Amino acid sequence: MPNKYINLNEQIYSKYKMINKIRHNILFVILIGLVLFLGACKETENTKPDETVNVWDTVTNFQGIVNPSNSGTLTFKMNYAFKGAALEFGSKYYTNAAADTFTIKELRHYLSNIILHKPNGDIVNLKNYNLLDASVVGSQTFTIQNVPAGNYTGVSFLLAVDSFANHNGLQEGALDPSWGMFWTWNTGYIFYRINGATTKGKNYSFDLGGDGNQPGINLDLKTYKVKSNKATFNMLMEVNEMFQNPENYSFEVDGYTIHSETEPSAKKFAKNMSDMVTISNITP
Amino acid sequence: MKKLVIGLSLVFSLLASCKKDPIVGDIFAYDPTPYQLNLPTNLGWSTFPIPETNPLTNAGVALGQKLFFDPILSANNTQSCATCHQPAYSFADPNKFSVGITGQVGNRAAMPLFNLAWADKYNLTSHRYFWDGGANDLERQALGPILNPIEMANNSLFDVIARLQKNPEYPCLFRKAFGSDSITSVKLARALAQFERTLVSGNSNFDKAERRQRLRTPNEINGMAIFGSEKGDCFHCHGNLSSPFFTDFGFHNNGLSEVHQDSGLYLITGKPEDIGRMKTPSLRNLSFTAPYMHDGRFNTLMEVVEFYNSGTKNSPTVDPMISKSFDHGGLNLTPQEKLDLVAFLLSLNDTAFVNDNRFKMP
Repeated sequence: MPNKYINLNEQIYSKYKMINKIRHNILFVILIGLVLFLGACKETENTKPDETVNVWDTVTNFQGIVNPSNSGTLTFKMNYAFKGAALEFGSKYYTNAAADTFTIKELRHYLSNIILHKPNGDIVNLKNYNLLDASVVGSQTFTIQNVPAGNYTGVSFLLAVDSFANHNGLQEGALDPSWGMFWTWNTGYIFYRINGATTKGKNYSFDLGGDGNQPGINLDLKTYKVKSNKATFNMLMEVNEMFQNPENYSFEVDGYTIHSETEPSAKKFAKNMSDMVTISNITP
Repeated sequence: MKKLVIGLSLVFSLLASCKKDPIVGDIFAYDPTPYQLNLPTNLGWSTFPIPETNPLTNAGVALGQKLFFDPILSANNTQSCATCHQPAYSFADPNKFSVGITGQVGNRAAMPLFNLAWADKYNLTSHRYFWDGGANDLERQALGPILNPIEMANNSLFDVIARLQKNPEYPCLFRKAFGSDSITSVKLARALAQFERTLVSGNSNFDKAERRQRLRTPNEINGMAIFGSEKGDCFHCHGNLSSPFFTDFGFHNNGLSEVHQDSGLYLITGKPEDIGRMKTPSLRNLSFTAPYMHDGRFNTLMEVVEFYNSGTKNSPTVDPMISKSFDHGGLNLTPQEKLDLVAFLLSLNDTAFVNDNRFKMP
């Protein structure tokens, strides 16, 4: 072949190579782009939002507590005081509004049916039965698992056992009759037990129970603003409050002992007790 | 305290673990085989409710029976349930009042035990057992005497559980009945209740007559007519003749006193209309359960019949079925009518029940 033709061929060939290169490059770029694009799609599939988690994670305008996760926990810790001072058992003397002066030897009670209130009025009943002893620190804290995610502006519970569980066969756990907070001569639990000595030479002993006598505690959370999936409610039981507000309880007038649900003075305590627990703080 | 108890229970359960025998195998493995309850076939017998939490199993019933006859349940190991609830006396006490482990005498007669579970079916209130209805169900009732200071006098159920857990046999038997060596008061009560549910008495002469296996005597027939009519008026509280239970499972003031030493149901409900109301007992097996009434004041059936005939007393809460005869001076039964009524009552005795080896000390 003459040189000029070889040269021409080479020119055409090298141009061809260049075009191919460009073509390949473009294809390569397109391919890369495609891969990235597809990869990107896959990535967005992976990050498809879990609706509840996202909402609660980003919400900032709320009152009360927000638990962002369905596997969140709530811990409750009860502290006990009389007129603000931590309880001392058996030795220290306390005085109520009716001027009864007495020691506290034993204070045990049930805490059950913890209900979380949502702003729209819906409730979440965590049920839960706990037996707390004011003299045993280990019994005063309990944690509830798998609390549904949400915003809650109130919490309520009974310082008692609800009427259904009160009559529904024998159960283990906190409701085990072995704990002794149980009447065997008249079916039903002793919701709240407090007893001790007095300065009048007589002991006092109150075993409170009975359907209709369950003190309910309602706590407003709207003044708090806590977002946590493991919040702790630190609560205070002011024992003096059971002896007053709305009506003063007097040992002399209303009795030194209550051992059955039918005694009218049991109802007086039930009414007084609905304001005896407050929240000290909520920690995240 | 709780941790100590749990720790102790674990230790005891390890000590008393039920080992697999190399030849026989694990004879104490959990055995859910249901207990076959054979109810009589005459009119009115029906199944009774069994709680979902406490089905009747062979292992559970056997355990309950062993516990029922075992003084280990009393604080000083001297008295079992059977001490006061004796099989030969239809599971009642031949004494007027029972005596507890400390020698204290009770104030109410030990009630006979048979056909108990039908109270769960026909009494829809929450007071079913004890003379005053203080117990809601058989499981809860079982704990009453165990903790009563004038009966078995245990200070705490933990004491009872500890004794059972230390015993060489009970952890294995609890495992067979409930699936675990670890004994709790709930399981103890459930075992006892299972045994008690099997105490069915339905083989009296009356039942046999109902099943056409026997003829009634003329006295029984007359007595039955007095029982089931306004003549004797018994059926108002003691059930109708189509029902085999001879109780309405209710509570009445039957005119025993003007003033009530024992206020009965009132102690449980606090309602003034319940003052002096006591549980209507069944009229079966009366020959075995003397003396009669909650305070055992009548020694013979004739005395009881005479009481209803002419001895009932007025009080604010007396039952209308009792007070309606006050104007007429009572029921005005003739001597023959009284004898016939007693003859009918005697036809309700179930001798097979009180001799039944299935219900005796294992």
